[in-house]
Amino acid sequence: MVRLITHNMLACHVKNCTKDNFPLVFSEVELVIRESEANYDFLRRFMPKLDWPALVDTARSLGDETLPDDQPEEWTDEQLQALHHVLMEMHVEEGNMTCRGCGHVYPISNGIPNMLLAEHEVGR
Amino acid sequence: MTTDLSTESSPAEGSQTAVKGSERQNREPKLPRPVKAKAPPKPKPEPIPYRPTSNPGEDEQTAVHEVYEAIAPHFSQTRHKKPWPLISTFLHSLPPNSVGLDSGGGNGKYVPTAREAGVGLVVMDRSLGLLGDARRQPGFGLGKGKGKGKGREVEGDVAAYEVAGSDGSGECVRGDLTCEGWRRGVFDFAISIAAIHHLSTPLRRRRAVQVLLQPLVHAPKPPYARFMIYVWAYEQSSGSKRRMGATTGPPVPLTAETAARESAGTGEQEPAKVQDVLVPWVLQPPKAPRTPSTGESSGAAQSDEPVQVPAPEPQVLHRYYHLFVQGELRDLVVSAAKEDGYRVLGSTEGESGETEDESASEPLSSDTRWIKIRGVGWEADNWWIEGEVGIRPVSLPPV
Ligand SMILES: [Zn+2]
Repeated sequence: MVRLITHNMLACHVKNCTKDNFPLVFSEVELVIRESEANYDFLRRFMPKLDWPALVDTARSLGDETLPDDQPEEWTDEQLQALHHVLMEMHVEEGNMTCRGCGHVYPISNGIPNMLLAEHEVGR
Repeated sequence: MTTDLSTESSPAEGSQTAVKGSERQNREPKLPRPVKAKAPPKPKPEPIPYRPTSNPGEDEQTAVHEVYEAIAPHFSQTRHKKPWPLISTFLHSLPPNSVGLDSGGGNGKYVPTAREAGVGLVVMDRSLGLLGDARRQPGFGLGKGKGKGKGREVEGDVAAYEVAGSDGSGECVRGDLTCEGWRRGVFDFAISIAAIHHLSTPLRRRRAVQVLLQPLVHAPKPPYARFMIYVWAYEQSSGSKRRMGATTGPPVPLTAETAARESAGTGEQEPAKVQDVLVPWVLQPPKAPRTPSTGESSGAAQSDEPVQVPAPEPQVLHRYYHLFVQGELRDLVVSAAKEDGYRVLGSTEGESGETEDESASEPLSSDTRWIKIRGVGWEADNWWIEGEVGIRPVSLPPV
């Protein structure tokens, strides 16, 4: 499933698309919330790898306003819980992810994002 | 795209028949069953040497991707097979709460192992059929208590695929081995198990290695990001599991084995190694007639002949494999890394005394990504390699 943790790691990889290729923008989203118990150790370990602005923007685009603009330096339990909710409990089952750089659309179907490109779209 | 070699190896037809026979005789003791002469076993399909064409992408489409889609349901019966021990060891050796990528991870075979080890695994594969299985797994990064599929509808339907005991949030992404759709620096580890051997040119295999390393964290200090790659070996043991599992799955690549034996035993001139082969997968028809509770099915099991609907002939599909020879996997990883500007640091356990320790003591002029091979080996007809990557800031003195 595309949880936002996964979305925060995905970027457009169309040939020569290097500007604004992250984060991909959700549209026509079918969102499911699956409640789960938080694992703060996991969150703390993942934090340095997060792109915070991308996460905040994406969460807000999906209607979640709980994250602060700036990544906290000291986390309260409440903030950790909010992060857990956004990263781990918001599942995008259907929809599209569009690259702001080149416009390529990566569809999500049955919770699986399709990052495949045709051979001519890939390059090095 | 993970290839599982020990496919569900059903007992030999003979023993199956014996069991069914006794069960049946308990129920209907009267009639001695006529013993039907067994048809001579059909010769197993053998691997076919393969010559790559000028369009490897298309070749892999037909000789790998389409085959995996076709065999996905059958293949996924192997999901609960034991993980290969070295991969399990690798996963358990990672720092808890690491997140990694399984490139070509197919049906998510290593997701449960990763969960046991306390690490998260994102499965990427080209086959939707295989991913369909992987996504039914529970998601990672959650607490141990609840968290079992309390799906709450927000918009649209709550997914219908939720399976008992799983919250159906296994992270899956559709992409192939050269998919670069990941930000850099997001994964603590990466594995690619029995997948890269499906790429049909050296260039594409190098790309796959480069793409595997690319999204790893490149840290200036431990813990460093680590990777592990498994591929099929050209060098096959004669009594391998692969051979034993060949009743319904791909047999041992006889072409290669024969070649190796000939060259070893007879002192004849070594024949050219056939490393590129099409390995047959015998797609068995559905096994419905095996249910012991119906008389008809017993009959079917005994007679070798389906009684109900005539079962379709097993279909033989061929998957392309590049069989790696000794040293090749290491060379592949090292050359791929060098091509991408990595320094190769000295390895601790090289294979066959080979040591590679260039530039480890040279001063660096800028921040440099480095790779270190931690181990290379042959296990159960596969070659594996394990390594780590990091970055050495110019501010640090050389090791
Ligand atoms: Zn793009």
